[in-house]
Amino acid sequence: MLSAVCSTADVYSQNRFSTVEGIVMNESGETLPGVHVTLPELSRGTSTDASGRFSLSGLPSGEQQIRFSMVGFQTLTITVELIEGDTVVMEIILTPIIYRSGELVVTASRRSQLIGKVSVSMNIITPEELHSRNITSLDQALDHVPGVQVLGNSVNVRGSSGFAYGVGSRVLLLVDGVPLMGPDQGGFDFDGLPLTQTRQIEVLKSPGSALYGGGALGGVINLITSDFPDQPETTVRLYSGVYEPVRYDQWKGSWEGASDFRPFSGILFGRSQQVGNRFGYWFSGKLQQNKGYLQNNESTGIEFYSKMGWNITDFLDFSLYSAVRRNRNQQFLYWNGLGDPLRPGAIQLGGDPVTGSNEGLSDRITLIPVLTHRINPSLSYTLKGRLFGVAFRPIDDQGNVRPSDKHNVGVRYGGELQIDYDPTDRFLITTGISFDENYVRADVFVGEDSLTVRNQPEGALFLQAEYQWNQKFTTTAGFRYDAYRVHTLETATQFSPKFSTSFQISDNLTARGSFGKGFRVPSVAERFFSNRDFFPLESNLTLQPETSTGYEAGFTFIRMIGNQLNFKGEITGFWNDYRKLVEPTFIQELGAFQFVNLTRARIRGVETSVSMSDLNQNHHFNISYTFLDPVDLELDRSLVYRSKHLLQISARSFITSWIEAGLDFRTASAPDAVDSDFSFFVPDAELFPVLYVTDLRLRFVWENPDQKFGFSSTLMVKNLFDYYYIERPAIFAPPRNLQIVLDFSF
Amino acid sequence: MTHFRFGFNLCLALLVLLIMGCEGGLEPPLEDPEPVGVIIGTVTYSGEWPPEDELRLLFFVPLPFIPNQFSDILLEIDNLRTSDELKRNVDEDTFIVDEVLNGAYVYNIIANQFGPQILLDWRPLGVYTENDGVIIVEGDTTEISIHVDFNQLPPFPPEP
Repeated sequence: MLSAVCSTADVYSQNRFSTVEGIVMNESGETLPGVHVTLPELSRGTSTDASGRFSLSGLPSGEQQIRFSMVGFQTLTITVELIEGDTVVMEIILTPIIYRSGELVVTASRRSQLIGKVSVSMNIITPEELHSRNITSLDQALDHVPGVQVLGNSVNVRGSSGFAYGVGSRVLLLVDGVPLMGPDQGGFDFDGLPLTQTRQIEVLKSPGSALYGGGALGGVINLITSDFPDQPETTVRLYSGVYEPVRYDQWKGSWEGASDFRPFSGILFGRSQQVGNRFGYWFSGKLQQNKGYLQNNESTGIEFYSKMGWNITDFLDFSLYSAVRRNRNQQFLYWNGLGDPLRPGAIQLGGDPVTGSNEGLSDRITLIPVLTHRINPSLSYTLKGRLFGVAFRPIDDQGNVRPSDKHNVGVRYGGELQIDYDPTDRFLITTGISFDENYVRADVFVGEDSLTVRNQPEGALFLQAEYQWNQKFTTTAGFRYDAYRVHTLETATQFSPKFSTSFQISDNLTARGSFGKGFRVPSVAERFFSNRDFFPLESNLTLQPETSTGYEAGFTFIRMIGNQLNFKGEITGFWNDYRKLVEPTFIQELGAFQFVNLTRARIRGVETSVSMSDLNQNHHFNISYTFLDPVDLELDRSLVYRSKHLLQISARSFITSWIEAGLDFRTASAPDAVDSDFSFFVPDAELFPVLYVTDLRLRFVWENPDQKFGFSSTLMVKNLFDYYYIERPAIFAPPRNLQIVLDFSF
Repeated sequence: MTHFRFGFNLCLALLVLLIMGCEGGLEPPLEDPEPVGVIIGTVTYSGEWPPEDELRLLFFVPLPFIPNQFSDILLEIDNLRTSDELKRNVDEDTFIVDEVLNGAYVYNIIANQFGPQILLDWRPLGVYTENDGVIIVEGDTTEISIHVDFNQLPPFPPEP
């Protein structure tokens, strides 16, 4: 809906320059202070005063565009004819952004659609949330999404993944719709994403294999990169902080670093610009270092990202996203027990102990070229390529890179063709084909054939049709057919159908229901990893794909209450069946762990959330609760590493026009069951207490629209109450840490 | 707007109360350090030493139970204390194991990893057979001697 405008132009003679003045209000007639009033072509601007009034004088005559913008309201641009010596008086009414129902998402159906029309559970992480919380890696952002829990490097969407030592994620990570799972372990890389140039992160919370293929067993996370703004934008963010020493002397006693405030810091920067009418670009980067709050847990990293877009003709677009990253990380693998949790443990099997930490250099490169051709208004196609390469080089105790036969190299490459066809306004078809291949070379990936190079090609055909029966009732159906090569040139196939529907019961209430299937081909690491340097693990060449079937139904209620409050409430019931779940298990005959198709499982539950904000978007409050009933149907007990209860609460509020306070709280109940095999070797590895984490922040904002310069400073306290917990077995989670963030934009 | 602010502040107050009710989380184990003693010993060898590739690891380990299978030892691996590695191709050697938890140790062996499978390829070369084992009392040092006859290795699992 376009903003309503009411303007009057009283013109009277003054001097040879022109003046524009007036007042800005909301739809209730309340005046709005702090609205940005700019004339982009003249690089002039001001903001409304406490009574909502503004004045800009000394303007040249002629046709001018004037833009009115404010957080929480739709930006309004109007054109006025300025006459020499006259003053134009305006009365402007800004329309608030209707709460969240107007957001566009792409993940649910591979094309842009209003989130209010999406018939499956979705959440959006906005750039404002990333910014205000100083989110520097994806896991920090996911911690605040309803029903999502991050355990180490395993992402759980409604309990999908449990904890699997970072391999074989059951949630698929996409960047602009392109899978970016690790070629070797099939896991998440929480770093290495352009979070400062992110339009939004979409979290699809049901099986998504019908659109995206393997890996989308429990859900999909799609990072949508930014477009190119009309006006050039440059941002710089500096942050620095410290981890507080733990409060127990016993823990400090065994490592002297535990008594220090351990620092971390970084700089993030970005620049985006349109050049002419047909070309745009952005680039961004991050440099960071972290001394870590655990022994042997330091890291440094440097990352660069860029995207360029070229509107070749009115019908043909090309874009290229690229990313490079280098990290040097010490990895803390498991602790030395609850009596000494800050130091890595050691598995003592006689002779030299096997230590619970390592160090290495990690390099990554990503390229995503995209070509879109609009043949006519109802037919278009998109060609996407992808190249994702990783290399890991371990470092020995003397700080030297180990010999090349110890290096791991992995490449995922592929492409896809997607055709979008709209035969009528009510009928939409999306279809396409895709091809991907993994190539991995590592001495630890050795199967029975003793090869050290592994590849895993796969191809797919997908089709989806959406029909809008009337303004209130929409159904979507589709499928994807995947073929992938498994060991010894054997090819397997998977058929993944989906069906979903939404019905608008009233102006405020929408009902939705969906069904979908998902699958995941075991990663190269799960099938071929064989190594005993840090932990005894054996390959399993007979691993079968995991599959899932998900059903969900829910209601969404959106309403403006009392002309002051945006209210959104959602409730969803879900039921997911999993078959042939792959879990790491200790096999006595091998004397080692192995990934095996262990169990059938069922995870059902209910998720509910309420979001409120005031009309001016100065105050926000969100609360969500998820109940999970995760059952291992083979053992008739709770699935390991799944919390039954998840609760997330967040609030942020502008206390004054320049001070914003924010508070986030999340809690998860202790899992009913954990993997007892791990605790054979690592003391207290079975510990998994209830989680309570509270983060607090205070942000001071200063903007000067005349000079197009903005500055904010944020003081953040994470884990405010210094609650000691773990986020994955046998690794102590961060204690209270403080940081200061400085943001500049110009 | 006043109502909204009131509601917002109320929610914040409830949230703070909820948070304040949370516990402090993990903490160090409360029990005192367990009492320990020391075992020192002498091992003598007879017969021909096996080839070097069968002598991957060699040390003394006291066990508080008689294992029926190797996994019984794995389950207790966190609690085991071993000597440093023993010398190869000698007639006699000594060893020491400190910080042995108090208690009765009924199966005290010279353990040898003879193959590449670090969790599977183990065998006892010699067993301390006197006094039905060793009893460790806090602060005490217990001396034992074990003989290894390469021509007649003890069975595993041990005979009842």
